[in-house]
Amino acid sequence: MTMQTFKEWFFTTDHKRIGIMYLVGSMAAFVVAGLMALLIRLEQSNLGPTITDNPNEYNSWLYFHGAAMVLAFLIPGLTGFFANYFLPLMIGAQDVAFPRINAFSIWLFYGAIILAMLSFVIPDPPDVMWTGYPPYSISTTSNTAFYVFTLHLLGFSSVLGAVNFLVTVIYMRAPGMKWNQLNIFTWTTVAAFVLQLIFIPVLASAVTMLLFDKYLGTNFFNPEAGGDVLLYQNLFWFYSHPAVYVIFLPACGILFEIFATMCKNRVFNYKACVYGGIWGIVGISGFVWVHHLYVSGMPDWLRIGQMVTTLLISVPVGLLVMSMWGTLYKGAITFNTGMLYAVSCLFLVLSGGLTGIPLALTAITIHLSETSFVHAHFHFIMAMFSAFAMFAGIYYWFPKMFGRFADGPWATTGFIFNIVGVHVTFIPLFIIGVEGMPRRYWDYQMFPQFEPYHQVATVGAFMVATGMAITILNWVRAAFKGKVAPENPWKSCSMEWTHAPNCPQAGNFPNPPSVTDDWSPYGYDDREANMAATTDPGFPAQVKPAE
Amino acid sequence: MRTLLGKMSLSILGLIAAAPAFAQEDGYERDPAAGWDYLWHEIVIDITVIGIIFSIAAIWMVWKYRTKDENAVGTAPKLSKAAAIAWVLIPASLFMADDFFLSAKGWTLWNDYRRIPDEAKEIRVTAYQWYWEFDYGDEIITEELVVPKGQPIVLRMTSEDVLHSLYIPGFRVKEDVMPGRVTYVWFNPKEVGEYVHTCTEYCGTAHAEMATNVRVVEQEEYDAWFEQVKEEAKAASLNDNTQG
Amino acid sequence: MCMRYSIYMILGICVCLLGTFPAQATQTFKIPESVIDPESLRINEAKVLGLKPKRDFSFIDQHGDVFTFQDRTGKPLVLVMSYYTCDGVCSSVNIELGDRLSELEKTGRIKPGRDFDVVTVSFDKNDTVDTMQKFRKFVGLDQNVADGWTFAVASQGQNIKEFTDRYDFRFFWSAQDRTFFHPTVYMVLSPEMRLARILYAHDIEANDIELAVLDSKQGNFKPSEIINYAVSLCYSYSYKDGKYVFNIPMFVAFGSLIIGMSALGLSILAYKRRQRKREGLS
Repeated sequence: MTMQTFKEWFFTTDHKRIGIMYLVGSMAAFVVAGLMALLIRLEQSNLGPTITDNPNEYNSWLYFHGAAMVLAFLIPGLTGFFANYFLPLMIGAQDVAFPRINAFSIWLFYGAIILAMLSFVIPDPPDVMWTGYPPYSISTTSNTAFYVFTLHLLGFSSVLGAVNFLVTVIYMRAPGMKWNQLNIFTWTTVAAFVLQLIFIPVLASAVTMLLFDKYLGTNFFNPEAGGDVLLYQNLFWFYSHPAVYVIFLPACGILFEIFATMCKNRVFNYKACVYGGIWGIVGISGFVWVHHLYVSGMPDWLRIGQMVTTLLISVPVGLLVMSMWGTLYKGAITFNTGMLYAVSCLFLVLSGGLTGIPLALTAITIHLSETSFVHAHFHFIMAMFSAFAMFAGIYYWFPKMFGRFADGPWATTGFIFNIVGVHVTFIPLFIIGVEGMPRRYWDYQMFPQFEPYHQVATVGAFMVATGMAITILNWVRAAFKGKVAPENPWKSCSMEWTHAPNCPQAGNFPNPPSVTDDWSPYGYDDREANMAATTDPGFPAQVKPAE
Repeated sequence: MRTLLGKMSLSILGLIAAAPAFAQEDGYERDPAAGWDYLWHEIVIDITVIGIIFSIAAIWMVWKYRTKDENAVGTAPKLSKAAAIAWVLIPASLFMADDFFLSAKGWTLWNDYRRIPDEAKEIRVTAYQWYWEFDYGDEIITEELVVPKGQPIVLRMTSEDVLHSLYIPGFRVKEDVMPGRVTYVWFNPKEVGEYVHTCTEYCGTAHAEMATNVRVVEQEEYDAWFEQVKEEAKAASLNDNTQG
Repeated sequence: MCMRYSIYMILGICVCLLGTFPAQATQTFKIPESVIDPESLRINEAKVLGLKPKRDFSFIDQHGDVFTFQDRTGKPLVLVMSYYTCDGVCSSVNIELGDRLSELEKTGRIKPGRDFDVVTVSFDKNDTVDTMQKFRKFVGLDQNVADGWTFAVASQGQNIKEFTDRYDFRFFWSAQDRTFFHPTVYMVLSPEMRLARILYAHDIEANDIELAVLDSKQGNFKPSEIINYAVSLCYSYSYKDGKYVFNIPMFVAFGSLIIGMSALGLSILAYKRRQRKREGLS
């Protein structure tokens, strides 16, 4: 890389380059956190010390895996990379509202990643898990400060991103584009950013008080001196449960885009999906956090009350799922690797979502909380579902970003390893979770009967690792040497395909589009009319059959 | 479209209608662990049925509507206003029906978990990094929990340092243990045996080793054990006095 | 096996701690011996929290009726341990409590008698119903006393020390000062008669009693008390001070939630302004 290109990337304010940088950063976090997962699985594969005899070391792997996967891979991947790259293209904007703030966010994000990685070289890496509950996070000798500062940087970066994208969607849509003509992905991103903007300050203040307690001797969470031990947990989950939707919603948005395009169908019951599903989830998300605290000694009325609200989440999620399934109905389904991942997400969301129903019941959670059942549940719904949706999106939009296809035998091989691997890993964990295997255990001398299950899970983890390695190497290969893709290869109706060229340059659109009321990003039933409803389409070729 | 809607709502309605049939009220005594197993079984059926319905729907549609023709377009009809509203109200009310059904069941069991029987014997538990202490009252403190069979036990728990969580998988009970607060769990040990008792709230280095066994023994054996512990406590306090 | 490991670890940690101990130990010995250190009477709250009063221990109240604490189940209760002989100095905890209760009655939010009971018991084994009546007259607590306030002495033939020991309540008679030294505390018992909070007298306000009574119900409040409950979230109990202090994290969190919400509004406004400026220029 020459100095010139380095400078171009370093000082860029172009949303697409910033998006690619988010992708690179979050994938780096994913790889390192994934290696931690392998270490964790290796350690658990046998009773007694396996690869380390120091539980503290194991605990810091757990910390890094959890914190990095959620905060540095899933959230920045979905709301950083996907939103940055595709949201302006989908709404016909030439960039985001505040490009420089956008550039600032990405460097905050890289700062956070470097800070997180530093925890590998400092003598006492944080071991407080990604939850950081006091009093342990205060009394531990490890460096909780790294955890807090990482959260600060990421939080600040996210809040800036949120302001930026909300303003972008509100003011920079293509002329004539009404709210009901937005892509589902745009809607889910808006919803995610609203959640981030409202709830991140709460988390930031909670961890800041943690920092003060540990290093400045204040007593915010110290029960001896008037602090409340439980309050931190409440504040943490008050943000972190909505954070699950910050991940879940854009992941669903990506799937909707892929299903609509690959089924050449309109989104089933669009308004129910947007106003009932997406905004229903946003509306309810602030009132369910206690289901993370079902066994934490909260007042009974709160536990029962939030059991009902938690179960009621199934209503908006159900509407979202009905729309997703409905989009397949009477479609004209063609397959590519992105679609394979997307279809597998249909099953991941079922196994992850439905195992959430027993966990919504306070009484059932008494036995299951903090066991590997919970661990497997949220890996399905949050980690695997969202990661697979991201992979689906990366394959699907690969031609847009790099002008080349990433599909091919390697892509399919990677997919098969991944989908088989996650089930081999997490089904045994579901089983031993019901039997009582606790989470976050370095060793399990009291449960020797679970050893074979752990071994199967470890094998599964290595399958996933193989699949991921193939997938990521395949992307790198395809970005430089993949088969060159034509414009709009999947024959989509969405604006990022119809109006922007592959590898869009600064400004995105050769001719900035505007639309009339008849246009829809899902107008497959009459493509000609749909294209006619936009001004000066830059790439009319995409509606014709490919040569 | 209408037939699909009809079929799906029928099958889910059928599921909800069938669910009470699983209920078997006879022979149920106040025992949260048994209640847990029973409700868990019901929920597993519930979610399996929902899962299978949606899985089959997904597989069937992906198979049925697959095509090689890249220029084909989907033929799903545009929903009329009434159909769109119906597709909101019917699924929403079905999901809600299932939610409230489960809430009611869950609430009943929850009450069993929280309402301590009058005859329950109280033992105070203190958690430390990283061991447990059981206070039987009258200065009798042990590091292992021994309880007589058939005697409901309520544990009143507090912590001396950080958060812990008392978990006895065999009795299906768990509750966090916090400094400065007292929480409780109760259980009814019905079978003689040893049960794992461990910590499930991350508490640092030896979190994974903070386990003991709960021994459930016959009443006579318990009395003998208790006498022995009493003697030992007396001897120890005598020792302290002479030394002090 | 695990147990043994953890014991080793704890031993190890103890050894480490012992190393640092002498530095702190020298300070505590500086207190002159002739003055009684109130810290030595301090109740070890962690040990007694959640305990019920000694079972079947009966008291005689001002009307000569016998009662036990089990009979009082159902309402929170403020328990005062005191003595009735005014030989030179009177126990001041009751007088102060009387003031606090009348303040509480004025606020009307929570009423002694209706929402909670108050029981004063004597830890002096020489106290009788007679000395009790004398004491009440002497300090003016014989009339206009708050509803639901019971004064009591232990029934015949019982050792009151068994009752006080259960709550780690230690006291002694100082012949020199002709008075009892004892912790001046109000113990707040939950509706099921478990020790929920200890308030340190001389340092509290009526508000603290109200908060402790609400707190003792552990969230099981009546719908009509919802505002009181919401207010109580703004305070949290401090073991060190034996009273309620502002729950700062709650305010900080609410503040940041509002910041989050206003950030959205402000950014939209800022953009609008910029847009207008740009339009004005062109």
